[in-house]
Amino acid sequence: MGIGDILVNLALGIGFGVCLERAGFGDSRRLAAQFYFRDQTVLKVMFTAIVVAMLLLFWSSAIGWLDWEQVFVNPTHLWPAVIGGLLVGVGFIVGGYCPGTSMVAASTGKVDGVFFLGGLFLGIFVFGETVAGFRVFYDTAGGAGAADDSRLAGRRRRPRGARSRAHGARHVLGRREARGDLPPEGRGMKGMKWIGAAVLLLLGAGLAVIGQPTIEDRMRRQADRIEKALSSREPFLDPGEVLAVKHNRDVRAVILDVRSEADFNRFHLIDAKRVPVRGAESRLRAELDPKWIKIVVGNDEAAAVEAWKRLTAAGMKNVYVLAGGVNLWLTIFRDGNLQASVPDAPGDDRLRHPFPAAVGSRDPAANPEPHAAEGREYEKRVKQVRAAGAPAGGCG
Amino acid sequence: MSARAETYWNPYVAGALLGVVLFLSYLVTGAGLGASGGFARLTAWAVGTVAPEHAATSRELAKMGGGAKNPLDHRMLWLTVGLAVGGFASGMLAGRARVETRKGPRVGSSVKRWGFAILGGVVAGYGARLARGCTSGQALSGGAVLAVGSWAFMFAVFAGGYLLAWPLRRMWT
Repeated sequence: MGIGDILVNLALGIGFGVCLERAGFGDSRRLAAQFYFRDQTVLKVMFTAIVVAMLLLFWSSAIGWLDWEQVFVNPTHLWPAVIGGLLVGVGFIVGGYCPGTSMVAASTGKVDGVFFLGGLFLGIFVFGETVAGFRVFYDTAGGAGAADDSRLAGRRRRPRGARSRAHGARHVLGRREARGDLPPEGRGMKGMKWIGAAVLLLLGAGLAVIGQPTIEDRMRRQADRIEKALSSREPFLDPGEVLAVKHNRDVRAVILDVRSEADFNRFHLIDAKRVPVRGAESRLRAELDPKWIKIVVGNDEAAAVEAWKRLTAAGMKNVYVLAGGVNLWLTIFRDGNLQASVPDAPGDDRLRHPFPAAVGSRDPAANPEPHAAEGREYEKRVKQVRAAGAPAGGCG
Repeated sequence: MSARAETYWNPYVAGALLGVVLFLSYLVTGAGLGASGGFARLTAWAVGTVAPEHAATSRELAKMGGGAKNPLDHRMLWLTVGLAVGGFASGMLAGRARVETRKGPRVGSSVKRWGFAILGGVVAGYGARLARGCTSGQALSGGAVLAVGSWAFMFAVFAGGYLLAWPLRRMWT
């Protein structure tokens, strides 16, 4: 980590710590009071923070400040999350803290916070030593990948449901709670609460109206980058390199065939998947591992380039285009014209090689020998790019 | 240190500011806030120092450290350091930083409170690793980006707490 990253995270941590401390989260009694209906500070602070952060995030995404595809969304491991959550809740009521708040408590001299922190380290250590016993459960139970509510809800994301949920909670909890001998929570100016709620409501409604950027919006915003990459021919893989990548056991390559079903049936590369890319960009991005090499294949290049643009705009990494498409592939591997060069014109995307029947991948040219391209000269272009966005979230 | 502590912030104000900090974290680093991850990395580092062989062969530890990897070379560590610094500075300025044990009015002995704190810490630490995050990294951060597992986690935390609130009422009320 560079010094810049260190300072940024240090600053974020300090902001985090100040907010927790000022909210009263350094005090186990205030935290525990949440569970006895005496004080709703925990709920108020948490849900306000979630709603505010959510609105800022989705607004930033809507106006193009933030690329949603670069944001780490906690992957779903449902059952470990539920059981782990129950344990954290039990630990909370037994010990008086959760991990973050115990740090704040310990740093302000609360001895119980120090002991809780000690227990945490022990629990983390014990988990590392015992997880091997239920590895399969931990890795796979209820796993749906990086699914988030909004993604399930479709392309135009609206975080409205969650906002009104939290808003409802705030209405119910707005009463002043009996709080025993706890120090009082800070009071705001009367009426400010309603103004704040109205602002959040308006922000939420505005989001619902403008929606989130579509693939077309994203393509427009990234047009410069996309055009630059295309004009450098960086994403185009020579058929020789595609063959080498397919036979390379150290990388996993996926052939995405964007041609019509008829052409696909007539001939396709072995293990190719026919995928209509339009409208499926985000789903494909979520389903295909960022590390895999994705090669988009058309008859010529035009349709494949269009699909490549869409997938790239959706944030997919390691996507390439088969240079010259299936037509050049067949010229090389079926007609044996090993030095056939990549045509300069994009072509009309028609399959120009005749097939007596729909042979699919049974033609020998669908699966050439590893050395079939020996002697062909081309420039190697595959380089594995790191996965998009942050590799791990706050808990990494 | 002043005898009378300042009052806390209004919870909605504290929550809104926390939300802004969380948003900035996503905007600048691409990921949210967290706490237990930093502790896990410290644990991996400690095990690696005492028993390097073990740290390199245990998968849970090896994914953070092991071999040439330094488990502390990660943003989580600095976030955790910042959390402590920010908490301390804020508590100090508000006159709340002093050595004391916070316990319910019916808990006589501090030692008993400490014992329960350790026990709770162990259970929460185990749960946080199982859930791949704690109240900060899962509930708060994942909640803001609408991660399904994070919302499930959040409700489970409250369920776990409310479940044992009645049997443990002498601890806190």
